[in-house]
Amino acid sequence: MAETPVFCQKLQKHYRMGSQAVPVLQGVDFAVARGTFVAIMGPSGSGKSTLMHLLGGLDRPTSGEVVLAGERLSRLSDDALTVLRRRKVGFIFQSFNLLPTLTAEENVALPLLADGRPLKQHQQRLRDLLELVRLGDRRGHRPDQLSGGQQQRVAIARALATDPEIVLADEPTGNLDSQSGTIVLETLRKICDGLGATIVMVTHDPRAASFADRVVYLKDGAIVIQSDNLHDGHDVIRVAQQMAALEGEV
Amino acid sequence: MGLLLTLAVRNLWSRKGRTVLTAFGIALGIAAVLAVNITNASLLASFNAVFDEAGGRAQLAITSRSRGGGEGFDLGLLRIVRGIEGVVAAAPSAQAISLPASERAAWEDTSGPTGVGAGMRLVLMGIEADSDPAVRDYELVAGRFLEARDRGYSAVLVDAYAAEQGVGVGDDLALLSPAGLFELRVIGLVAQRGAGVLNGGAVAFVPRQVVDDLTGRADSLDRIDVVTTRAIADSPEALAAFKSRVEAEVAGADVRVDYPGARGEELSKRMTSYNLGLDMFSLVSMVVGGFLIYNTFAMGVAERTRAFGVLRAIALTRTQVLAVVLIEALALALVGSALGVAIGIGMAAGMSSFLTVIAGSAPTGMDIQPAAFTRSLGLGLIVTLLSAFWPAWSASRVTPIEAIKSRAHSGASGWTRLGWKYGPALLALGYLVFMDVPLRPSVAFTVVNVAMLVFLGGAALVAGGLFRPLSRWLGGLSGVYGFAGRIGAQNLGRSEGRVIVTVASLMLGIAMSIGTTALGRSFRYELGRWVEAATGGDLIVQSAVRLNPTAAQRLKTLPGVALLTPERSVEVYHSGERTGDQADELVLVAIEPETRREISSFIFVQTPPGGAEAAFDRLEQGGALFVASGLASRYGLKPGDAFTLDTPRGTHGFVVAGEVVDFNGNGLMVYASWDDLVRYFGVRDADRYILTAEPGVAADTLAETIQTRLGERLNLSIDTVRELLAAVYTITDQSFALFDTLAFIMVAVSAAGVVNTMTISVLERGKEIATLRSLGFTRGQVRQMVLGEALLIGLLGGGLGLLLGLLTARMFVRVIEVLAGYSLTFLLPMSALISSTLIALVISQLSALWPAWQAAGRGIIEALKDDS
Repeated sequence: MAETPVFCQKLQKHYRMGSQAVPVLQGVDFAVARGTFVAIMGPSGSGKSTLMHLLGGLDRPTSGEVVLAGERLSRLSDDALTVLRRRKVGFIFQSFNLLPTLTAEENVALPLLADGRPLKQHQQRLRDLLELVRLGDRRGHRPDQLSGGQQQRVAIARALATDPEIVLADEPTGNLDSQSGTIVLETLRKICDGLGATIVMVTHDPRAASFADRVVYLKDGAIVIQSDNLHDGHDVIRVAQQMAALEGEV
Repeated sequence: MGLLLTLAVRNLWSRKGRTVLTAFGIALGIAAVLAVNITNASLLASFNAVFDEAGGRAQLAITSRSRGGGEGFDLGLLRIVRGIEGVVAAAPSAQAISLPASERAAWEDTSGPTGVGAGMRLVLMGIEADSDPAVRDYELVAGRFLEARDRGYSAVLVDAYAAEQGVGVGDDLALLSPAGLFELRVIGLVAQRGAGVLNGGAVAFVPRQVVDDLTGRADSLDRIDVVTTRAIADSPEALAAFKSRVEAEVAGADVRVDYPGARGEELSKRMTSYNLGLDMFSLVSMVVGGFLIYNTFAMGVAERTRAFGVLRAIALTRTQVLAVVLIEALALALVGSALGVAIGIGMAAGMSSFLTVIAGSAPTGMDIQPAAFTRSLGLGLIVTLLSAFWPAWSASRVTPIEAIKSRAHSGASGWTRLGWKYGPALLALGYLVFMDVPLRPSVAFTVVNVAMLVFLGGAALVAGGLFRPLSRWLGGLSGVYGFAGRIGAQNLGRSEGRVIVTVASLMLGIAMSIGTTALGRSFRYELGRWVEAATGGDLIVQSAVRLNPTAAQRLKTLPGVALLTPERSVEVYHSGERTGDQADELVLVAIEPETRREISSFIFVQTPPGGAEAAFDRLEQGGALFVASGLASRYGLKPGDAFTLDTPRGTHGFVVAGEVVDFNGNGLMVYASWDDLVRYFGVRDADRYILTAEPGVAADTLAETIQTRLGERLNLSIDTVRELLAAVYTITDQSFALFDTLAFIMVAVSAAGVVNTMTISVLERGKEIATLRSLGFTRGQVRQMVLGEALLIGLLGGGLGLLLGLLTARMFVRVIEVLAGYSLTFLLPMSALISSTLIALVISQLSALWPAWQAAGRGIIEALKDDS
């Protein structure tokens, strides 16, 4: 397995607003080491969500390249990209985005089922994943029977279903109270440490970012600061200061 | 008000696709109602126009009580009429039927379920040249008009008819009569206006004596048209008094006094059951359109719950929120109505031409009355506003806080609860009233329409009640699209209200389609059974100019003819006890029981006392009738009852010898013996003879023999029974084609509903679909999911439609019995059940194609940002 499950080179993304091209990312070079937890932070409009979408193959760059699990995404057709995403990427969204008609177990199984893998063959794995996120006793519950934090943990288990190369989390604690958010962050930390999962998380919250191994700061579509070794110190204050400095300059 | 209008219009504009679809549904419903209204009015107008114009300036028409009889009434009555105070002019006329010799081979006479013949003969109208122009309008275009000195075979023709016949002023037109060939000298041509519209222009105006000659009647009239003073004519009360005065003066003679248009109304009554059936169907089309409207507004309100909450929080009262939604409904109704009017006029043009052909009347163009527009537009407006009212009310009741917090989805509904509470009761009530309640003709139409609406409402509610269990049971079938299809099927339960209305709409369309097919099949079967039994024999021999007894003698002597029996129809009125409705004009068919029973039989509704043979014996004795089931139902007759008829020889009582199945004359038929025809009507000539061939002689061979030896001399038209049956089936199938058209409209509207529902379903789940795409669903799998969802709608709508169709099929057959008096054997159309269910599935898939493509094609990032 590659030491960098995903990386990008000279990544640019422009959006068209009428006749004008609005730059969102400006020549970003970025790599994620295997088994690490990276937080991407930045003010509104800095391009952090766009960067994550491009890394996960949800969108295509204007120029530059993304390499995911050894595949150059620009060379893949839409279906091939979809299959790669299904097998190699796990997504966690701010709004959880569970299917309300499926149980927790079925939601976790969704990528496997989409891949044509029979549920019965993977039943034990699914149960293990739900146990990992401490929801083993809720596997038959539907989303409307779970709290927000529980739903997000189901989403985490779903993201791990296909044993992906990388997990991308977009503001995973954005819709949660602080206690639930902490549980989710601890869960992410656990799967990084315990399973060796590679996690990239977009967040506004310095406290959330302090759970990461590395914080990358974006401003105006470019990486301006990278801070390492946060995990040992939970150095929330330092992260917050750097964020405030960035936003103060806006 | 400006703000409310702006909000309403902007909202409609922002959802153009849905706006167009909903307007389309409204338009189709209005088009169906308008087309049927215009068609019915046009048909009545075409009948009335003929008789109004033929009656000219006359305010009253005096005719024989037994119009189809041979003798008419005495010429002496004319002097009495001219002496009545208030009579300004009185024009006598006598009529005879003829046919140009050149058309002998092409002529045929058939009639269908409307009971009106489709053959076109030439009417010879014998008039008095000096008095007739005072009553009728003649627009001379060539030659001269008849004069008092004209006694010979001179004629004035209608210019269009003359052109068809290839004759002009100074030419001779060869015509056929029972006595043989004769010629008329054409002395003038008139335009096809005024009196020239009679019989579609196929009329020749001749001196009255010519008709006397041809019919063998001396000094006998068929009609006196009466003109009164302007003062009397302009006052309905004075005119009614004048009519009573005339009736009193002519009371001794066996005549009727009517307003000229009454004849047209009588003819149009024969179409009544058919027209009423079309009316009912058009109303159901509107109801199906109403489902679409309700669904669209319910979805629209659910989507905009948050927006309404903001508006309530900052600006609008409940009433104003209600008004916004109703203004949208009104705008849609206006747009849909404009479109519906255009479509409806187009449909009416086709339907009117078609119906006038079936009715045997010359088309006079469409009669587009303001009332038809008013009714259709009014109905469309009412249905639209009623359908949109509940969603509008719901929108106005939501509190700002609830609205701001809520997610925009249609959510759970009370359909299941309401469905089981009221649905079965309404369904049963509507069905029982429709099927079992005996109805007077005057209220039958209204009651069956209301019962049908109650029944359909109950069916929709029951569909709601069955939705959940059926979805669970059938949902697995969406697995034909794999795992994605099963996901799609599960999605239906998230918007129950919306989906149930869509399923109900599809169910109704399918049920109506099955119902019309069953009706057509049952009618066709019964008709065939009746024709085979009633016609019997091998050949039908008829003539446009009727066949005198000499013709019968000549036919009998031909080699190969084993047996021959005559048949003759005359129009007759029934007097005596009324049912409270206007007296019906009946058709009396005279037969020779002794020979008829050897060739064909009747289908008795119930075996008469003593059996069919005893009934024939009683008929043969005279003073007895077989009555058609429609007539028996209307007057409550059974074997042994008395029934009076107004004949040229007075009013006479007859005994009902049997009740028979009959599809002629809208069910208002009686059969009498030939001797009674001669005795009471003074008629001896026949319309047709039914022949059997001797053993070993083929029908075609016998037909050829007859044609060779007597065809030209007697102006014969010869058909085999097989050919007759085929012609009857053709007209029957054509008659039911219009019902199939209306059923198709309903299915089209329900298809629009499926498109609407699936489009909304995809739009409101944009984020969810984006999630699935993120997780690895391919575009193809997303499409399969949407198609799987639609497939379940098709399965539910088609399955429920099939079950409901079994009931509606029975109800439509019953409608015919109630309105027309026909008794039909119910036939279950297995092929229609299968094809209709398949249609539901195909519709569901075709309707979901575009939403499926939209769902799969949408960008993931864009959809993830959806705030739904």
